Amino acid sequence: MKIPPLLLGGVMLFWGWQSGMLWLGALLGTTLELERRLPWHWELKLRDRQRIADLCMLLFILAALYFYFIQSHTGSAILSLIQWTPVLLAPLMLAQLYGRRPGMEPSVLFLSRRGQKTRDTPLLDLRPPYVLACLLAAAVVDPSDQVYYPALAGFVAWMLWPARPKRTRLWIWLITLCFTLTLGFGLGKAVHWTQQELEQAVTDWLSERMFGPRDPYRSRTAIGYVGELKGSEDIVLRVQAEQALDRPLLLRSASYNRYLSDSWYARPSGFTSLSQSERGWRLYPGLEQGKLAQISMELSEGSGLLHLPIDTHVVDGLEAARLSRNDMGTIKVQEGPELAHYQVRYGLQATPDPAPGDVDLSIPRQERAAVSRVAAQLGLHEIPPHAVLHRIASLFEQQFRYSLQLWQPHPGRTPLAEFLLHQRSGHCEYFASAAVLLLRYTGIPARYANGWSVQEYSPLEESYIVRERHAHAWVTAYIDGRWIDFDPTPPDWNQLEETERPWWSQVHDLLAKLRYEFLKARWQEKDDAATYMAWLLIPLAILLGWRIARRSSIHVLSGVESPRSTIGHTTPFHPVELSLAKQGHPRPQHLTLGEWLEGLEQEHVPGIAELCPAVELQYRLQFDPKGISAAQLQQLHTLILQWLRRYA
Amino acid sequence: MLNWLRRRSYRGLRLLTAFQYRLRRRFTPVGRILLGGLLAAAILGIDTRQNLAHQAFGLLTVLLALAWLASIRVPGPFRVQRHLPRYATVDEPCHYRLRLENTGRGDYRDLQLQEVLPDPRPDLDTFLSTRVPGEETVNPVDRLFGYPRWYWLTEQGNRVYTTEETLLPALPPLESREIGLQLVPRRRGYLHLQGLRVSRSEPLGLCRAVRTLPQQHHLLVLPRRYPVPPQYPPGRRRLQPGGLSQASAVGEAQEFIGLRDYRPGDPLRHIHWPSWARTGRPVVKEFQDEYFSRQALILDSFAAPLREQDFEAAVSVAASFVEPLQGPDSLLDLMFVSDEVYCFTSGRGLMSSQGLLENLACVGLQPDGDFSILSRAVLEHATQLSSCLLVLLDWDEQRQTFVRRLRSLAVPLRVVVIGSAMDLDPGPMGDQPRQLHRLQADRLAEGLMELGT
Repeated sequence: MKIPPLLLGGVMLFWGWQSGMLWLGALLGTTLELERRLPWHWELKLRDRQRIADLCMLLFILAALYFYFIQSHTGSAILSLIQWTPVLLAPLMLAQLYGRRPGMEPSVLFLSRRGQKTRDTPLLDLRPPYVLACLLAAAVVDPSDQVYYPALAGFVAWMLWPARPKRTRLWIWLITLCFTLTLGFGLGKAVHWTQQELEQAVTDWLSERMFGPRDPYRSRTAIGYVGELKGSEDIVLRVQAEQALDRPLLLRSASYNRYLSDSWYARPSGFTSLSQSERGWRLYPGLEQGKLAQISMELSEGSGLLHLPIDTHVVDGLEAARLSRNDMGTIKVQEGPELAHYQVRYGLQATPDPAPGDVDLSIPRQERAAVSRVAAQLGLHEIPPHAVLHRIASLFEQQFRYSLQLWQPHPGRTPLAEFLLHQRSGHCEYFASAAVLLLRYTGIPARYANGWSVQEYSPLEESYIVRERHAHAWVTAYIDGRWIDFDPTPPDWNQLEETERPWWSQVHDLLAKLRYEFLKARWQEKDDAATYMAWLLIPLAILLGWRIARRSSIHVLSGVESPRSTIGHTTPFHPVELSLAKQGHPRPQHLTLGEWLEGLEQEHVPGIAELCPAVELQYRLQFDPKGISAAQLQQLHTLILQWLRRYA
Repeated sequence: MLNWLRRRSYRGLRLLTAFQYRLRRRFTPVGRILLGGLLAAAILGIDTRQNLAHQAFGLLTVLLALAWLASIRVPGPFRVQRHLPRYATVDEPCHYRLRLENTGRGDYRDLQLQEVLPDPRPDLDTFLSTRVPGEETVNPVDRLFGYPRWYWLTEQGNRVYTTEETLLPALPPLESREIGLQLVPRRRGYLHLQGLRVSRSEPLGLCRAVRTLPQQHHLLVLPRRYPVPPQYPPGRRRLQPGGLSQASAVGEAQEFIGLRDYRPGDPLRHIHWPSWARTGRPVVKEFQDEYFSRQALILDSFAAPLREQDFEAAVSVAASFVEPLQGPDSLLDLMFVSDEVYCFTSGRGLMSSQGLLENLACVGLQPDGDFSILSRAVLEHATQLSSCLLVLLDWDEQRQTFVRRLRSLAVPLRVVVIGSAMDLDPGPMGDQPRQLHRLQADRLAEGLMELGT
């Protein structure tokens, strides 16, 4: 495939401009284009070319590691790596161009082909894929960029011009190309629009189906399911408290206020951005002190719901672009790190959640009978709110049992009614849902909250850890003008789950610790890591370059053309061969020049002895890796000319 | 487990190569590059809010889709007639001509023509059972999935160096053109040409419409031959009982010189029945014995499968000696084992040296055979031989014993051993070290030239 002149340089310049490294693009582009003008070239052996390919591969790996450590997201690291592709592949491209080779052997590029014969394999021209790689690398820019498409279209047209069939008339080619480019622009826009629409649809679907427990607007419960619930041992949170916890600390993820068909919902409301000050994100302005806890959690793609004590008033140390809150007090983080590490101030009994509304007192019609029956049994209408909480807690603790075994409700009864009136055993979602409805029945506004219960201290981690099985549901009740946590689940629930802990959990914890340390190194010390990586890369690159230079046999050949291109009729000695052939002394194919002339000398062919100096120069031209100088080449031509004048 | 994995790997590689083949057939090199770019853009532009690769994706998709649509209509119809030479030779360009006739109404320019060659991919059994040279040195992953093995076997199956596409001159309707083509065989034996592929690029030069014209031909590819210095084989003329016809070991002797009385021991088929009827006593036909020089070229075909390259070199060496050993009044016996023992004789009106080369083109390696089969056949024949050139693949005890026995029968010998090791214990050739030669498979030309010095 033909590559038009200046295309490589132009593409590199465009890449440099788009990437904000115009000087680097200009430097590389000039280096790539200069090769056509230079009188010398590199003599690279196959092994040298393979080493250069290995160097490129190594550079790729090191660059991938470097970007992985310095970028906040894996996606950004991949994009940075792609953006640098032209630089990382430049050694290989230069090896082809400056080696004056039409391409590279497959064994240079593919390790699997190393050691196999390369004599008959077609060479792979790296220039066209390199041009495309540069154009794609130039695409890693702000999507609002308006220059990319016209430039891309121009470069593609430039590349296609030499490849068009000769029969194609210019106007047909131009019209076809213009039509294609216009259609291509439209398709690009359509792809962008489709992705946005599709993403929205998929997000909605996923929120609906899969991420129910962490959906700020809906919580699907396991109420009504049959079977056995099992939580995993995976560690999802690490909490370092100022002082030892005398009771489990509840970290809320989200609150809900509508109960319908075994699910809890929150009325959709927009999230309001929170302001960030020097002292962190203020959830409840005016409060400064309180208990301090440090929480570490992983955020998928840097976004998710923040897990906080209900009375948190300050979140500090969280490197996120945006923190927002909805009407239910749920806090959402966006564009944060994948490992969020933040301090919270809490415990001043001031909750930032807005005041309750009518919906916080509603009870579904189908649950009303069961709830009223239990409330009547307990006499909840006749006692103050705090006593209600106490009486409900006592009821559940004494007459109910925590169980992960899910039962089948009797036909005609709701699962919650079956739980309250008949089974009297269930998991935290049953207790929390029942308690919310009982409180509402007595006129206390209440919401269903889910999140995590912090209660297990790990000596290995030297902090409290929260496993996936510590996921919990409880109640937030509005009493005395503020929202408070109320956990109606019998307190032995965690001991029950603890007994089912698998034997390999210690190994699991150790691996989790290693993973956490790795993430910590990646996210928390990123400036140091980046510096360290950069300083590590420089000596590595120097070491590599030195090793390649020392081991390789790269020679710069100057003055004359490559010996490989001077075979057959282009050798200076060819006229002598022709002349002797005309005289009846053709050179047999199997004889070397020296053997042939030696034979002719023995046959006393005139003038053969005078060819000795010319033969020596011809041999050096053909076989000496360093070649001969221009002066010596001139001398060879002169000797041969003199001989021809005399004997031809 | 390993076999299970390799079976899956085989299927995967087969599918992949079939896909590559179709890709190469339908897309021009530029088209293939853009297709690769399209794939990269699709992956890179998966999130259209992060970069602009989706614009490249849109452009390349439209380019390739339109090019593909524009190349749906195949050119033709055509009629083709290929004129092949009788033989081709390994590594030497074989020029031939073909006539292509446009029997349709289209006026075609920029048509391209390419030979359709046989599928070089190995079958499953070969893939599973073959071990390729250097397989133990490749990395464990490649060894597990068998890619080097696949590659090597496919290379072995490629009987022709990559054939370039030939650009055809303009072909108006109902006209024909004669075109010169060239191919360079890389393996000896029969080359089965399947047909010809006529293709035409669309206006952008990315895709092509392809019509395959079936045209099956078989071309015999002779082994590669190297220049060999003139040969003056030692030895004297030997009695050839029964004359020339007997010398070829086929049928009765025909050098009839007269009749004589029957002697006990004469074969019954030599009885001349009309004379017996006339004279009343048994009379037999008498044939003339002849003396002439008879050379033997013995090719060893017994070696491990991994020594395929050495065997090919041995065949080339034998082929290179066919002409130099063929004197004007002498016979040349070519003996080798390929499933069974073969002995072909050329010279003095029998088979021509071309015939010997044809037989050498088809000889195969005998990985499981026993060298004694060949040695027995040669020794039975040895008393008639003036001299013998042995092309051996090894210099082990069995072959040395064979050489020893041949020498005990006073047959002058020259031994050529093909192999990579340079040191060679002369053994039974100790008193004639100059008649024992070691040749390296990758340096045959130089080695053979040294035989004359």
